[in-house]
Amino acid sequence: MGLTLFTYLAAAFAAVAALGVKGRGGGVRAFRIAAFSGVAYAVLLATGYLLSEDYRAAALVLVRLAAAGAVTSYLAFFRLAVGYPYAKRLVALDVALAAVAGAALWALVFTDAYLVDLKRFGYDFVRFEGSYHAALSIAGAGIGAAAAVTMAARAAVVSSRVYRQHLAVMALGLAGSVAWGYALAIVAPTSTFLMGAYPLSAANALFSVLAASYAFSATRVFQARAAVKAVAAWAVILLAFGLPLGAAVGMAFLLRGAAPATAVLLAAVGFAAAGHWAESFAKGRLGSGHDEASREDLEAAIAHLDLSTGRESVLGELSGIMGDAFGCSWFATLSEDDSGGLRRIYPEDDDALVAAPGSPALEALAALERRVVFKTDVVADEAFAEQKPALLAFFEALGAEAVVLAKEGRRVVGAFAFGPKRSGADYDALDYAAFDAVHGKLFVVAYYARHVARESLLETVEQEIGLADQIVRSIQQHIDPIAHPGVSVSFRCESPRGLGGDLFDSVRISEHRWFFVVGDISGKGLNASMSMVILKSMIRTLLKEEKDFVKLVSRTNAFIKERLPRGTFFSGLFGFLALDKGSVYFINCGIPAMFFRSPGLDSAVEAQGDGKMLGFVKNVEPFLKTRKLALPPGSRLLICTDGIVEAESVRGERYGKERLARILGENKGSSAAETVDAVVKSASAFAGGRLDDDITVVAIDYEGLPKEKKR
Amino acid sequence: MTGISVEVVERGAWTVLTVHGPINSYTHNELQEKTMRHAGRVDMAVDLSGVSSMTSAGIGVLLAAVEDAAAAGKRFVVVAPSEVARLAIESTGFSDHFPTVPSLKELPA
Repeated sequence: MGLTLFTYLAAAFAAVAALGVKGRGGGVRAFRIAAFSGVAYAVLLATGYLLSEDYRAAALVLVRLAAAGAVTSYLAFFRLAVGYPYAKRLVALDVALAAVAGAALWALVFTDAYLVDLKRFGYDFVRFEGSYHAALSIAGAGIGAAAAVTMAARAAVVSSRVYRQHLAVMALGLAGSVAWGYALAIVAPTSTFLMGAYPLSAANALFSVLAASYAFSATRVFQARAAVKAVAAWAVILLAFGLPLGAAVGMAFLLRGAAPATAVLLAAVGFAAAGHWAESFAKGRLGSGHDEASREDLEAAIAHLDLSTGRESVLGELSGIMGDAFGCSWFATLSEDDSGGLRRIYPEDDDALVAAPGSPALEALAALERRVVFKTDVVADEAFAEQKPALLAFFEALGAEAVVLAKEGRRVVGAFAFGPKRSGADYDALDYAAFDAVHGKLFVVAYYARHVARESLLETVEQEIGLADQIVRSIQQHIDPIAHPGVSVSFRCESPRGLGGDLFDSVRISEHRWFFVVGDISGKGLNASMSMVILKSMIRTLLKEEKDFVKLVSRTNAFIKERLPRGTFFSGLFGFLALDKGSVYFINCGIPAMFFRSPGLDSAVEAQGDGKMLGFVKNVEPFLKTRKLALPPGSRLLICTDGIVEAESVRGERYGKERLARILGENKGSSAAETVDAVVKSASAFAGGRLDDDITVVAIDYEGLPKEKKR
Repeated sequence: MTGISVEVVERGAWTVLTVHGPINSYTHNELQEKTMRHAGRVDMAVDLSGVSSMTSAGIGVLLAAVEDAAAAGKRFVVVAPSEVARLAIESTGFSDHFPTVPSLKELPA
């Protein structure tokens, strides 16, 4: 009975794997028929075996149907072997295979040619075979073997390496299935020794279905080293834990110490709990720690690029770093030019427009949600179906195998292209993880390349500060100004050294709604600027994806915690101005001061409430509170970062919030811009003309919607 | 006082950094350099009783030190923060990230 249980579990596992395949491309239909016929085979045969002791007639029908299921599954695998990975219509083949399936169904189920009767006495299983049992069995297995051989043969000739691997994996899985099924379903019942293993025969669907599921979901090649590592990790789990647990549960079951359901439940809970431990143990011992260390080294190398040496030199150095890390035969940097197209700027002697503005390639890149794309992904991943021709043409034009994109929302600011590996290997999942890990740092270089002009210009600007200042100013100016008849917004964002980590950004969401963020990313100088550049871009990208305000902030927090240098945090405020509702919704993430002055109040009041800064904990969502503030016409908001509030006089006094409130009171009749100027002047004078920290001051005056626009 | 001084002494199992003066964007480099030299390598205590002001630059240095220590399995504590240092730490909303003891005598063994 235990073996039957195993077959049921194998069927369930295979069904789950098959259901997990989401593709719509070539071969998926054949795969589904093959997978679910295989699952049906397992369930029918196991049930027939169980019933064959007391309900022979029903058992006979079920086992005959099971055989038909197995043949259908092999026929569908054969169809998959011939067509994969393309979606070509092969009508003649489909008709022929359907005819064979129909004939097999008739012969196996409605005649005595395959099976005449069966009977089980406890563990003894007796099968009365029909006159053509051997011939039909060999023919059925032969179809499966032919499918496996076809897959292997196609694996040898297909040009795409990723499809080659898919076909090879499917061939191996199917060959294993056929061998297992033949040995246990055909040979075992004739042997006294192996007869008891008969119900296990139908578990064979697991191998072929898992292998094909892998092929339909994997879009990258795997390297032998990574595959061996993964197999070794699973072997550790199996040997150290799976086998002892299985033995213990089996013994409990046999000794009647546990009912079948209890045994399965115990096994599942135990395996889930200890499997987790075993997996982390295996990974720790088998080397993924080494991969993480390499990624950290790579990240550090890119972070330490000296931007003051000029664009050509920076990109040259980056090319060396990438060549060492990934073994690529060449490396190129593309940058957005003034027309909005993508131009190759490194190597410099190869200045060429790679994607013109509005070209299908650029549109396809703009539409991508991913920032790291391998050519193998484009070839094999259904998610790229729409953009496939344009993206493939882009990869072909470059001769590249991998591309890392630097995007701000949809806009492609730059891209890094990687040529084939010197070893001839393909880019694999480990490379993907490494690209993904260093994306933030690469983004900064892309921004640098976009905004810092050629070497000749560099001679006219100061070195480090001048360069970074160009970037910061360019990015700071790149906002959607809040231009609306019902509101007047003014801001100043300055740094004592010309570059800093303060940030103000606004994005138009709809006619009356604007998103804005104001704050300070920790660190000073160039590092803070880099973090600010990355953060601003990331928030804009997340805005496109995330409609939930709290989740947007929470994902920003996760990005800071996981991607920005250790010790980086953000103190500020995220807001949504709903001008049609006369409200502002905001989440305080540690902004030191947000004052609100209503026309009906004499004095300004603090409105920010408590807040938690971002970058301290992995999941900040439970700590975030969205607040709403109604803005009557004539009201004003004044938001400041800590550079103002913490400004110090020569005597060591803090500027503080009281002075800020007083300035706000004194400027009741002034415009938003005049008020911002007044705050900056006051704080600067207080600090003896020298502000130590980056400062940002934002004033938002709400006038109310113009009457004709009110609903 | 516009400068900062950071003294480093060994005290039992702990390396104690005693900070005097304001921690801001001009002065935090010295503290950063010394915390980076020790964080994650030894059990580190940072005495902030003599801190006259602290901006986000100082919080950033402490946060990096806390994270380095946690990653390496070492201990990190803040000792006797002055009022302004305490307020700066509280402004993050995550004071519990910075374990604090009231004096050097209270350092765990």
